[in-house]
This record gives sequence, C-alpha cells and structure tokens, in this order.
Amino acid sequence: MSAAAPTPLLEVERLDAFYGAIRALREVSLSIRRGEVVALLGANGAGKTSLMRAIVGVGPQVSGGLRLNGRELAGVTPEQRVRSGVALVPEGRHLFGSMSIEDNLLVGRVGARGRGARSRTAGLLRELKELFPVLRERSGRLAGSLSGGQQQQVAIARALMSEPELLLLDEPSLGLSPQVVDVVFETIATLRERGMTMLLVEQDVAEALAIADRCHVLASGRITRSGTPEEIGDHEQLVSAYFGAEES
Amino acid sequence: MDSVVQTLVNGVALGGTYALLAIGLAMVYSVMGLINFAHGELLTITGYALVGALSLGIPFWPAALVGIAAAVVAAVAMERIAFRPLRGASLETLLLSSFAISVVLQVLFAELISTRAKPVQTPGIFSSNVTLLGVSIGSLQLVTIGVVIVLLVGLTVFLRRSMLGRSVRAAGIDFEMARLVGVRANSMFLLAFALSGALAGVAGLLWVGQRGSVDPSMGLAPVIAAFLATIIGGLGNLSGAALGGLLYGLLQTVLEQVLPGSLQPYRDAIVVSLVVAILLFRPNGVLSRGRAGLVREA
Repeated sequence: MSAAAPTPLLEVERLDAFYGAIRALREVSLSIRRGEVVALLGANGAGKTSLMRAIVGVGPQVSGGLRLNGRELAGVTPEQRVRSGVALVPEGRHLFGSMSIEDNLLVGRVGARGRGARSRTAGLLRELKELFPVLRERSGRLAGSLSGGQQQQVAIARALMSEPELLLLDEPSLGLSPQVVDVVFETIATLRERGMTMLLVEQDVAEALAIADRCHVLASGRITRSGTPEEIGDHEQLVSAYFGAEES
Repeated sequence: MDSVVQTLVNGVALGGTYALLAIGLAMVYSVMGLINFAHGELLTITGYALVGALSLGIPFWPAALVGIAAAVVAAVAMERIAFRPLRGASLETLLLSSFAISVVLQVLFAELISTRAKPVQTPGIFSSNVTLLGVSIGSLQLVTIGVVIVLLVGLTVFLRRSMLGRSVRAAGIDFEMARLVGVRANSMFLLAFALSGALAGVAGLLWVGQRGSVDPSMGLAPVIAAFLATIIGGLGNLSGAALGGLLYGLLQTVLEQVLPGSLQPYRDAIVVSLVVAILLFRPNGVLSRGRAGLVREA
C-alpha cells in the first residue's frame, strides 16, 4: 500500500474573486507542495496579484476553497494569516519608508511570541544580514532612502522575519535594472536552495521559468495552462496561453 | 532678571501643556489623517471626572488618575463609535465629524452638568511657589515642565524602541501593509487614540490646575492652541508638535509680559499672525519633511 500524499502547503480550489461587480478570478485551482517554487505568469490584469491578495486576505471578495496546511482560511484576518505562515512581498515593495531598515525588519517580527523569541529575532537578523548585504551596511538608514533594488531586498527580508512557510513574491523585478534583477533572483534562488516554498508572480518570464518547479498561466482570471517550465516554455503556446486562447 | 526667568518658566510650562495636546492631535492625524477637534473635550472630560471623583471623597491624586482614565476611555470610544466607521473618508468629512462630536459633547456638558464653572480643590503644590537660585517660581509650572519632559521622553522611547511603538508607526504609514506583516493595525489605531487620550488627560489636569475650575468649553482654547502648534511644527512629526506647542506657549506668555495694557486684547491675534508669518517661510511647518505622519518620524 502506498503512503498517502502529504497535504499540500497551499490549496486553492475553484476560487472566484470579485472587486464589486468585476470578477477578477474564475474558478482558479492550484496547489503548492512544501519546498516547491510555483510561478504565476500572465499579462497585466490577468488576475495574478488578485490571487496573491486573496491568499493573504486583503482586496477582493472571494468564494471557493483556500487552505493553508489543510486549514481553511475563510474568515481568517490578514494578521492571523501571517501568523499562520504566509508572508507577502508586495508589488512596489511597500516598505515603511520613514522607518529605519532595522525597524522595518523588526515590525516583520511582530507576531513572534513566547520563550526564546528575542534570541530567535537576533538570530534571524544575523542570518538575514548575511543574506542581504544592504542590511549589514545600512541598517540605521531610512528604508525610503534606499534604491529600488535595496528596497526589494529589505522587503524580502522583512517578509522572512515572520519565518513564513509560504513566501509570496509579487513582481519582485518590477522597476529594477537588469543587474539588480539578477541580484534579486540570486536571492530567490538561495531561498529555494534553503527549501523555502514560494509562489512567484513575475513578468520576466525567462527568470520565472528558470527558477520555478511548476508554472501556471493566468488569463482573464482563469488558469489557461499549467505545467513544468519545460512543458510551458514553448514560446507560441505560452503566448496563446497569455491571451487565454488555450485552456489547461 | 527674576521676571524674565519667571516668564520663561511660565511660557515653557504653558507650552508644555500645549505640546502634550499637540502630540495627541498629531498622533491621531498621523494614523488616521484626522484633525480631531473633539480632542479639547478630552480635557473637559478629565476635569469633570476629577470633580466627580473628588465629590465622592476620593483623594486628589487617585481622583486625578480617574480623570486621566476617563480621557483614555473617551478617546477610545471616539475611535470605535465615531471615527472607525469613517476610516478612509475625506479630510473634510473627518473634520466635520470631529467638530460635531465637539459640539455635541459641549452641549451635553452644559445640559447634563452645568453651564457654570465647577471649582476644583487642588493640592497645595498647585498654588505654592519655590525659590530656585533666588527666583520665585510656581510649583505647578515646575511640575508641568517635569511631567512634560518625562512624557515626551517616554513616548519617544516607546515609539522608537518598543515593538508596540513600531507597530503603531507602521500602521500609521501603511495600514494594509502593516496588517500584511502581522500588525494588528486596528488595535494600533485604538492604541494611538488611547495614548492621545492619556496625554490629553494629563494636559487636562495641568490645565485645571492652572484654572482651578472646570466648565463645558474649557477645552476650546487649548485645543486651538494645540492645533496651531501642530501646524507650526508641521503635521509631519512628533518633535515638531512638541516644539510648536512650546513656541506657542512661550509666545503667548512673553507677549503677555511685554505688550502694553492697551494691546493686551490683541495678544492672541498677534500670536496667530506670527504663526502665519512662520508658515509663509516654512509652509509645511518648522520641522516637517512633507506630509508624512508624526508617528512615522518619531
């Protein structure tokens, strides 16, 4: 008798999302297993960010199933979702610009409680300063004074401060120069090597395909194609999936 | 020389009281974009709670704590009942709502308590003098300065060094993002109101100590001063509000000393004109770095 498949870390089941009368997602279903990197691809307005926001509990009204570690997320506040193990690095980074880098990181640790929390926080700060040089060199500077690439590093580090099981990355390369994009994706690759489970929304298809284990293409709020990067990488098929011409 | 020192001490004490109010106003503005004109009524509530507690035979200092607690409860109630439903509304809507609350409370005080001033028996320290370096100075003024310094330092340390303080600042900067890093942002709004209520409570006690009585509109003059103080300092930061309060109090006190009797009725008009002059050169206030919130730059 074969062992039962482990429960996926995240299960999205026939999820619909609405902004008022506008339907942003249509019966989206996907799952993410521990340690996987899943990329969400699609044109602007396809529903990628809506899905991210639905997972963290802000934004659209949703119906359908959304489970983390088997636990239904309906009715769970965004704050509680963070404490349950989801962290978002939002599009545009949204750092607390007039707070120092270190304070941005420490706010990301707000849910940490109990014995050993303080020493764990210190340990995490040390680890993240190893991973992100900007944190080492400029921790007292205001986050808003950093360059886009540095801000992205701080945003990722802030999300990691909550020790998430699932990291959501929404357009991490947006607005960054090609060299800086490389640095950001090196960081994501490092996190992948360390076993971090990630859901990645990215316009840079080549970078996303290079790092993901599996991909889904969204068009008009619907998943139009799913598969491994090899399966999905065919240019023509990808283009047609982007515009919703192909059903998964 | 004596009168110069006395004037400065009186000015700093008055300015310190304004500073406490201004910081409370600016803190609420910072997290919610609301200039709460009902903030002055928190002083009045403190005063009436103090009067009520004293009339029950409670000694002064415990009664003072009752007064501060009443201001905190009232501030939290304002947030939950009146302002939370309006979160995200325009500045004008929020401003009008705060005016409405202010007027309703003043009417309630007048109708349910009295339009007449209620005298308050204050301890001797509120009316005695001490001699420092040969200069006679009011104890209340010294106590006021000490209390203001302790509260300002305490508040700054709280906002900068504690997790709760950082969370309040984060919620003030970006409410949604604060939630997305795990901050219970609604609770942080409530905490900001509670802190502003506590500061108003302390300012109310000091104000009652200076006046010796409580009446329905006693909060009006200080809240206008505090509002101008936040404008002088810039709605953008904590230090600005404190500095604005001190400057405003000093200006009022110094003008009271130096203006001839015939010009005394124009004192407040002159002070406001000076505020306008400051704003001509520093439109965003003396210390403002823009339209960021006070708590954000604490």
